[in-house]
Amino acid sequence: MTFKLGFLSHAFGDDPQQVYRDLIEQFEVAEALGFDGGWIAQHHLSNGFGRLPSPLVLLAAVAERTRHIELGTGVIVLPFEDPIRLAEDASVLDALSSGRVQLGLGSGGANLDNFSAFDRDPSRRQADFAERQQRLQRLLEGKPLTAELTLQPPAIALGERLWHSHGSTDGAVYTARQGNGLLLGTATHDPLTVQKPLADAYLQAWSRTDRAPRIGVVRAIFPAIDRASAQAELSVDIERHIPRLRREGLIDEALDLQEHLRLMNVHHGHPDEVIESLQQDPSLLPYADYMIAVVQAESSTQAQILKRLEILAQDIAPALGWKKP
Amino acid sequence: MSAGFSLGFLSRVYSPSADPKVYRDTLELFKVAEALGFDSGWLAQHHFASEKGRLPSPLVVLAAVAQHTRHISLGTGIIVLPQEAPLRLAEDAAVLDLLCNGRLELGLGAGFDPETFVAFGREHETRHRDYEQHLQQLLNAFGNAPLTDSGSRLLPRTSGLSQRVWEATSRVELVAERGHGLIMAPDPHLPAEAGIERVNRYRNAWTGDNGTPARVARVQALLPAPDDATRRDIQAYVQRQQSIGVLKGTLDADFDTALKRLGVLHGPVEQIIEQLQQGPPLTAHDQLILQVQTTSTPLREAIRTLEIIREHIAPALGWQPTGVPS
Repeated sequence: MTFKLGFLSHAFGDDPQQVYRDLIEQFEVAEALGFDGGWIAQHHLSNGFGRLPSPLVLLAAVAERTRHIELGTGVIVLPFEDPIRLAEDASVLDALSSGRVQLGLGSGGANLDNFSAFDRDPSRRQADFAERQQRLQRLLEGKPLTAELTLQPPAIALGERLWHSHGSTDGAVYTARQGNGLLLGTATHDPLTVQKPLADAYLQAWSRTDRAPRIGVVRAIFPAIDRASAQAELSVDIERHIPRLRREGLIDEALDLQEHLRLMNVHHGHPDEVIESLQQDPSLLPYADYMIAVVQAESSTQAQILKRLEILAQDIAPALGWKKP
Repeated sequence: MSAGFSLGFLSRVYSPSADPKVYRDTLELFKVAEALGFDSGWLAQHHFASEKGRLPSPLVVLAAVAQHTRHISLGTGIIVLPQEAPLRLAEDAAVLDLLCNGRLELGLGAGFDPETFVAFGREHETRHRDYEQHLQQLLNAFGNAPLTDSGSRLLPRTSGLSQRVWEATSRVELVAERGHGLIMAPDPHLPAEAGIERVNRYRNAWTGDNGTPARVARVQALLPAPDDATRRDIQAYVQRQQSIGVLKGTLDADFDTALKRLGVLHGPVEQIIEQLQQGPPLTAHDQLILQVQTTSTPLREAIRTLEIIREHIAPALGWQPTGVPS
């Protein structure tokens, strides 16, 4: 089984303007390397993580610098969006990019602090997600909003390029019932005990005959000359995550770097080691229609990111069965 | 900033059909305008293709334009603020402003089309109140105010964007108090002198508290040689404005008189220059923004009109291009 190859960026960095320039360059380089898609996460406000609240605006810039690579969001926090405005923006971007948009949606579980700024109630986020996702989907299908008004520009094909990110089997089943793709793989979801059951539940619940189910699997992949170099490049950033791992109950106390990398499911080392480790990942190759690699940690340099993309497209993905388009 | 005043164009991204080509044409128009020395280009927002305006997402298209241009200012003329989630708008504007190196000019308005308000689940009657509320939230975010209990702020931070906000409203004193630019379009219900009077009221109310000069953007349609297709476009436009109650009464059956009342500049170049000289005087901080397309205007004709403006009209009004890169 083959899969599409993508990368996902959380848009880390100190200077947002530089971060955006670097992101655009990552898409250009990835396209030249044959990547099928690039995905950008949406992060709101200054307490977060990434530096980009507006993936669709940035992807419009990327669209003008690239020709083939798919433009993904991984993910947009749907409860903070007006479904009409989101449908409009995505539809215009899809027209600008000749149908290259892949629209990944989430409920904002990692952004609980920010709900008040958007006048939303975090405890209602699943209900808000479902209500808005269904509204968005109806708009994209061309269903009227009032007697006369429909989404303009129309974007019927985009309705078949929606993805959900969920952490529960209920969510995975819901995604299948809606006929959408499933995105798997946050750092704290164990591949065997959490992600595999989600993927199985999704595939089992799939009943549409007009289109196939599709699973996108996000994986942290940090190849380097050897394991020691990969770990050296990652150590500062992994330590940064330890408080969160403790908060989320994944670890009781700080362990050694190796163990943290294992818990966070970071595939790293010499390309051959990375290939082997990805082959053993219980919820990756058996399920992935789209393998989406995270190759950037907070303190990664642009040179490191571009190098990892290159190793990924030239050495790692082909060994896993990826065919360069 | 050009000598005399800034020269801009406005596109309402009109097209008879939803063909995506209209977006490519819009990018092309920006490229041509920049090469001609235009100081700014402005895009209108239309939801649900009302008036056959095809662009609900000006910030998305301007992000694409930013990749093809280097100097020209990128304006929204206007975004319907009551129908926006203000914090999302602040985020999108802040990101775009960084992508285009601070070239964004953010034009805002309250909107008028009742049916679009129904679609957004908003009250048409309360649009001015919603506008004020959303504007406050937008400015708070731009001003780096804390937005959550834990003190989170807008990211990316904006640099000077709050001084590049424009408002299209008849409540000109409010605009002046806020230190924003005033967007002025012809009002077919008022005599032409009313525009001059409005600009005077705006300038008189200006405080300069935010360290910027008063600035007026005079927006007007300019169609040098309206043909039958243009005439049909304008008739359709008028009928639609009448049907939603925006245009009251009937227009003169004589096309020439009707165009005059709508404030559409037309006819020989000398006549257009004369009509422009009769409007509110433009200073170095002001903009003259000309709309050169109706629904069916082909791109090459729009470009031709920009060339006429550049060669024959704007210079006669005292405009000079700033150093244009080759």
